Amino acid sequence: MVEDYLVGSVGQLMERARHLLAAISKPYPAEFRALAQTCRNQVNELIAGFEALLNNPRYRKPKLKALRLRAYTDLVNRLDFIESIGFAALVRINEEDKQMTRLVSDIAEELMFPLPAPVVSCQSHFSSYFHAFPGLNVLRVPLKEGHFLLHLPDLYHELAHFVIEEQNNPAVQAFQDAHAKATNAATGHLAALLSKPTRGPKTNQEKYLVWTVSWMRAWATELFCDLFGVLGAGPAYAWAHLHLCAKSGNDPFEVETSPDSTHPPDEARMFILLESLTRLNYGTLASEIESRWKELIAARNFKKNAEYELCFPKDVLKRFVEEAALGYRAMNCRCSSPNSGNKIHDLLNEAWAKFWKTPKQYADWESQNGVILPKR
Amino acid sequence: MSQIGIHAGGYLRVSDYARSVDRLLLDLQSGDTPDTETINPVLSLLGSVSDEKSAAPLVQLIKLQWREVSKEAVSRLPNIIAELKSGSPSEQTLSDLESLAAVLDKERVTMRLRLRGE
Repeated sequence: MVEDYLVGSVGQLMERARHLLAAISKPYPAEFRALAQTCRNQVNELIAGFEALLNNPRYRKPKLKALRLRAYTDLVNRLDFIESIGFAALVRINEEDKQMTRLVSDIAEELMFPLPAPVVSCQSHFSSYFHAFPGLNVLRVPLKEGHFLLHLPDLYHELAHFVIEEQNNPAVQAFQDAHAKATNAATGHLAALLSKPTRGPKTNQEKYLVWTVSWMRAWATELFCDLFGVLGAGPAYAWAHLHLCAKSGNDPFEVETSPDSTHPPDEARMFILLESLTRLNYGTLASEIESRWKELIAARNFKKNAEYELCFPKDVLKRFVEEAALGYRAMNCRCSSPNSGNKIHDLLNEAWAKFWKTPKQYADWESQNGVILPKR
Repeated sequence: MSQIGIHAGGYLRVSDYARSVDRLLLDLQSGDTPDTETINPVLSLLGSVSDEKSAAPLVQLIKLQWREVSKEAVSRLPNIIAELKSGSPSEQTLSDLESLAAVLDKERVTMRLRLRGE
């Protein structure tokens, strides 16, 4: 069964891979050429992998059947990934994609970002919001995001995902080491709880284990990317976080107890942002953001709970703030400062200042002043 | 960042780890001597797994999951590394690497499902 199945399926997949190569066989603007080449190289590598799966005599040995099927699944998934991310970005390039790619490249330059700036594709789906795809160096944003300023600070957060996922590169090692150290502080705190003799229910132990997994799998990374965002974009990043939370309506103190959890509670995220802003000498603005944040939480009637306090103690969160600042500076990235002279940084912060100063006129101001892209 | 995006980086990395272990197993179980290009990525991964303090969070996660499946394999890590370096891995080491491959495959599948929003 396996042999016949693989012969039929792999043959079809190789044909699909060739179709993809044909679809991007055309000239590309300079900033998209690296992506086109990456896609070409990766698909050719996959075709070679498919051929080996059929023709390498070692795979015929019965004891290697499971290994062969794992290799097959891996190749299928990689082809699927590259088609839906890399090729999907390349076959639809429009003016917005080009301008957003340029914008992110300018942000990277302002930050002295240590890696090549990613390509931007304005095609994220309903639930996807902004998302980074390291490996292909692609960033997806919602269709019309480039026309508006208030969420653009989130682009700084996304850049950090490329830093965290970079491999074998000493230029970003300090930030990655800091990420590991901060994660250890969080999981170490839970390990201490786990090792305590307890008469409590067994479910507590299970919960601590799930939280440990969540810290390792996603929470620490998200917090570190937030800290990169605030160190680079300054107060505008914290405002953008408040904006996102106001729109989502999620309980900011809710600690998820599913291993599928991807995001730490919003209160923890805001806490580290405000701490970081204070250390960047934005104390007055940090107080203003905090006061509006508290107002928002009170208006929704959200309250701290014991689980939040247990899983996200302040000393652990402060350790994240310290480590991220050290790692960020060690990469020689530029820190946010008031009136930095960096055009995009200053524009994003000015946008938030205008938003609060004259909310009624903000939309008009944005359409006339801070616009990066030609209007809708 | 979106839920989908947070898994994209992890998925690619776990996928790389899984592939490198499988490539090594293919050589070893076929009776072939792996070259350095095949063996080094696995030694590097095992080295990171051994390094409790500075390992990347994702590697720590793999270690945690591997320990759940086979505490013995994780406690044999120094032997596994030494045997691979010496070029003559025992049957036990092969079996330990199989258990690591299964853990990596499971995590790869899990991340893949989340990446698809499933």
